[in-house]
Amino acid sequence: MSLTSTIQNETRIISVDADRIDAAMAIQFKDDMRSETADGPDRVVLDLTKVDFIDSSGLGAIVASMKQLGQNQKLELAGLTPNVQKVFRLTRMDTIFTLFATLNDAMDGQPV
Amino acid sequence: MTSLHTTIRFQPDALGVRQALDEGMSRCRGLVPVGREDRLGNVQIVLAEALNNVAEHGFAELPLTEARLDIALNRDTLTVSICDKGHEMPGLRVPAPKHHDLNGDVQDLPEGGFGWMLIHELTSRIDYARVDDENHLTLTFVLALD
Repeated sequence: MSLTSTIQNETRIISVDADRIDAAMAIQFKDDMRSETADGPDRVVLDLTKVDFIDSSGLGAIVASMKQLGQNQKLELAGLTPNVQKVFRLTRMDTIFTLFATLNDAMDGQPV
Repeated sequence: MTSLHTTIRFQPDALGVRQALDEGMSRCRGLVPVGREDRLGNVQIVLAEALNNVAEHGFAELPLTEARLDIALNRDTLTVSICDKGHEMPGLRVPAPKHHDLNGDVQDLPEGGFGWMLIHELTSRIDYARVDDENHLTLTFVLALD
């Protein structure tokens, strides 16, 4: 699993450098998210621009990543590609996370 | 249009089903007319869930035996069948979709149990049969290719 993490404007931006988040990598993803979010800003944006496919295990790993955050931390999602967005919509997880069309929108604070 | 058909054999574990999904989608893209590959998004979601189920539940405490993915396109109807010698489906039925309550505390949000809901939502038809000692799960998609 490869995640790239930067801090910008008091926001931790974590970019997923993979074309999918699936069952075979879900546990690794969750563990890597735990280390990336162990400290730092309360606002965390997960950039999914490069991810063109997610299965329900990958979705579960993103939900788990939110649940393991500190009390004041918040996880938001940016750059959902069409098939990723569809999985969020059908499971209604799009109502749980704040979603941004692009990482730029997330930094400008303009939700979908 | 003639019926087109292809078969993939795979090992029903986490990496085996990932390869079967990729190979299956690649063959599906080869079956549909050029320019219609965008109709296959639902197929990818459903196939991933169905294959994951085989890898995660089908062979619990059983030795892994090779499984098969059959893909057929007839006009605009795509049929994908997964055949495996894993455990039979509970009650010999297609599992019902689970509905989760997302309104409670964040810590109570579900991290799984979405697979069958996605499969039900995104297929035109689901058939299941236990034939001898083999599961046959057949997923049908009407792709509106015209």
